[in-house]
Amino acid sequence: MEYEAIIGLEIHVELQTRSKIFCGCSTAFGAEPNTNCCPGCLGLPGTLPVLNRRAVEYAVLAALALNCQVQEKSVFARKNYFYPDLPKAYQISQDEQPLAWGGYLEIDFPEGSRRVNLERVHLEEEAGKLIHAGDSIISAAYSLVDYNRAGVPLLEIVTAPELYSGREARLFLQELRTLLRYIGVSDVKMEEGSLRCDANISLRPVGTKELGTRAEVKNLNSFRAVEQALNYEAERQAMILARGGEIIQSTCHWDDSRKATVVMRLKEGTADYRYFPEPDLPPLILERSSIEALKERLPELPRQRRRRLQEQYDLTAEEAAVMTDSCEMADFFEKAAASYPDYRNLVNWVLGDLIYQLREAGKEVAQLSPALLIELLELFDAGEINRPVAKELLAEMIRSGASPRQMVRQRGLGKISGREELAPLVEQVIAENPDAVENYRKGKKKALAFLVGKVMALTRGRADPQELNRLFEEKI
Amino acid sequence: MAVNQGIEEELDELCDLACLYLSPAEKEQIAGQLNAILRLVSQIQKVETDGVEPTFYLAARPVHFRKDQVEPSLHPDQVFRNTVHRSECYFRVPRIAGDEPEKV
Repeated sequence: MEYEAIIGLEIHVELQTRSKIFCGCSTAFGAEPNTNCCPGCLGLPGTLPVLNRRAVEYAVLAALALNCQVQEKSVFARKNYFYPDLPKAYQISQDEQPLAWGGYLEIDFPEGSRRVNLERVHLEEEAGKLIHAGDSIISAAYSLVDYNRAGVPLLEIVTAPELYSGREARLFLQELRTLLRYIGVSDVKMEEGSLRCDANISLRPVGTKELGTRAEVKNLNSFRAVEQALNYEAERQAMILARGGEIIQSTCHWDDSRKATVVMRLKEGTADYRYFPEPDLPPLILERSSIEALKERLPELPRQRRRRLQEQYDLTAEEAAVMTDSCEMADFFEKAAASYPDYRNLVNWVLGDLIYQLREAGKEVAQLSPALLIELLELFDAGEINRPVAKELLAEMIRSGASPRQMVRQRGLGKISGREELAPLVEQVIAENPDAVENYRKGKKKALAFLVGKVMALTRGRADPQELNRLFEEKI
Repeated sequence: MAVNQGIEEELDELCDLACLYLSPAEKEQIAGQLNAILRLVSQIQKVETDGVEPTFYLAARPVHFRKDQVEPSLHPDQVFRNTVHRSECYFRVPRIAGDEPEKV
């Protein structure tokens, strides 16, 4: 029998507020363990949670960007469980009345676009971080806890079971990451854990509608792991079913080094969490008008912008995807394009040297003025500088923010293309390199490049190489 | 939960969820108390409440927001003051996954 995999994702996203959701401790990543803690997030008796307004705003923005129905009334609930990552022995979460219901994300899969529906989006507090002594959670002798993370605002996004392969799950997550980073509510770094994902996966015979028994897969720490783990788990379940076996509802752990899922425990039912409304927080009431006001704050979303950039500036799908990787990058490009009509040239510079140099310098595109790039391109287009100098200036401009035109003036980097200036240098190089000249005369074309390179070195890269080619050909 | 029926199993499950260990004598005592509570609850459950919204909150006050501002955290000495299970800058807890996992 042929089976198809049915996958639903439960995604957790840390919202990038400065302080935690219910107390004023910092959310900064990478601080010394247990230094961003107070009586509130340590769960000491007598403390009360006070809700961070920005966490709510970010959650609503995300829900709106995901086309959810944001609720005017939602209720925080205690989720009771015994696990040392939360010192209170419960997590403040939302249960029956979440922040938002429904919603969807449109994904451009290689087979075509499809809407992947969401079930709900809710707000909760992050748990502390456990470090397992030993190789993994399974072989650990004891665990160490860092409560810096406990209380960081967390958004939980639950999809409908509407993904059908590991690859689809990965593409969905990547689109979600782009969206959330783009609207500025999270830095969504899987490697730092600010974007995490658990997956539910079950199999059913192709053509049937009923869902099979599912396994929950955890420890998916990269996009690659999501794809590999789900494909592995689908295959494992198919093998069990093929031998007439039965799938037992369970929680598995993805072992990235072994590339295998390991069953950790049989799944507890949801009732075990004994949810009840959080008595320390009244219901969260959002006026319709304030939800609408937040909607106004949303920028044009990446998928729409990708499509528009493709049409307006004649970008390929891949180019548009890189350009809309962040709102800042797309803004930079469009601001530059407003005063520089050669879009093709602009795209090539931005996606090539500019992104490379930004990464080299460890700078963000938002720190760079589009006007400087235009200044540089205009110098290059007018033939005042050659390409190697342009690249060097680009790097310098990104590092220091200096004006390319001023740098050219101050350092005398203008292109040397006059024959009267270049001819003596050409003759000098011919005199100094008789072997190369001889080789060129015998038909070795590469010798010419060598001679041109010599003049370039003498002029510190400022000579016009085409003019040099012409001069050497005439003189040899 | 049916009164009197399976109260021991219910109690075992609750103890399990709450990570409590009760001696047989304690269990017997608490089962009696729990039964009395359940009897009371089943009496209350007879009241017609269809269409009545549950009262979770007694005071109708709006949620109080705070600004997203970082406030000073505790000094580590204070953070670890109430524990003996300190391992340098961490809290040390027993290993989490108790059972040997099924290898697949």
